[in-house]
Amino acid sequence: MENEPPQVRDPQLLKGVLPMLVLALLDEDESYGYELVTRLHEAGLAGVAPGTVYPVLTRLEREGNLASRLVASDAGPARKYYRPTDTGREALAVAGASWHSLATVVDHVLATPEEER
Amino acid sequence: MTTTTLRLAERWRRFVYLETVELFLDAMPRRRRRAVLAELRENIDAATADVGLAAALADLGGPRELAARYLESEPQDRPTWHIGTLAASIMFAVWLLGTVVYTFGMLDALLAQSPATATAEGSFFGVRILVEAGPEALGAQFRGIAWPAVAAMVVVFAVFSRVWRLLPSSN
Repeated sequence: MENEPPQVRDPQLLKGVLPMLVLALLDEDESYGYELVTRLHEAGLAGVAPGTVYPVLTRLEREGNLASRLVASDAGPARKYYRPTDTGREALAVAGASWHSLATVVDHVLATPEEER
Repeated sequence: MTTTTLRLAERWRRFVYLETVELFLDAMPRRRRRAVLAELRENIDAATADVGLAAALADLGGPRELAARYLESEPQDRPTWHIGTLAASIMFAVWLLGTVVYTFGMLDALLAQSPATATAEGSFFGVRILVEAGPEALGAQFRGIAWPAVAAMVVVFAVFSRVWRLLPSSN
């Protein structure tokens, strides 16, 4: 049986971490907008729509965390591929560290009975 | 090599969608708005090549909601220079109109008081106004700078531009 990733469905929870996830996936491999959405779906974020991802890409590029280049395509117009800049990688490292700290605390709180805290 | 060519109806649908998004992006500065819309169009075209225009637009959701997401991701609390400039310009126009009306009033009073050529001196918001009126001469001279009006225009510009937004946020 194929091991499928867990699905995340809480949009508010997702909103805060989406820029970090976008940076992480683009750090693995550059993508154009719709391809990135597909990769997010494959990662378990089936509820993420392009209408949520595109503004994040726009913001990250405006902030200097992403760079882009146009690549000619056999199936349509040239596509804009995004990849993290050095600033973006630094931001990813900071966001990742913050996330792990938070996750550690949350895991601890959820795993420990209230009377033992 | 295959290419995606949109039918006229699809082009129209994409055009309407982008125009509607632009309508709801009204709060965004024009240059920034154009850049955002150009990028959105590129993304729509790329998605259209993958899944078709109908699915590409459906995945984006409503234009209003999409515009709201773009606005959310833009920097907030920027100074509104264009509004400040407009407000200061209106104030300047009012001051200019007031000065002209005041000067014409002085000229009219002079002409009514004396049939011979006469002069009078007055002041309007710090500007000295010297008028001469009579059968052979009609004119006005302005001296000085209307500092109260200049100060008022600076204050109006600063208030309507919300310059305090340039200060570092405490958050």
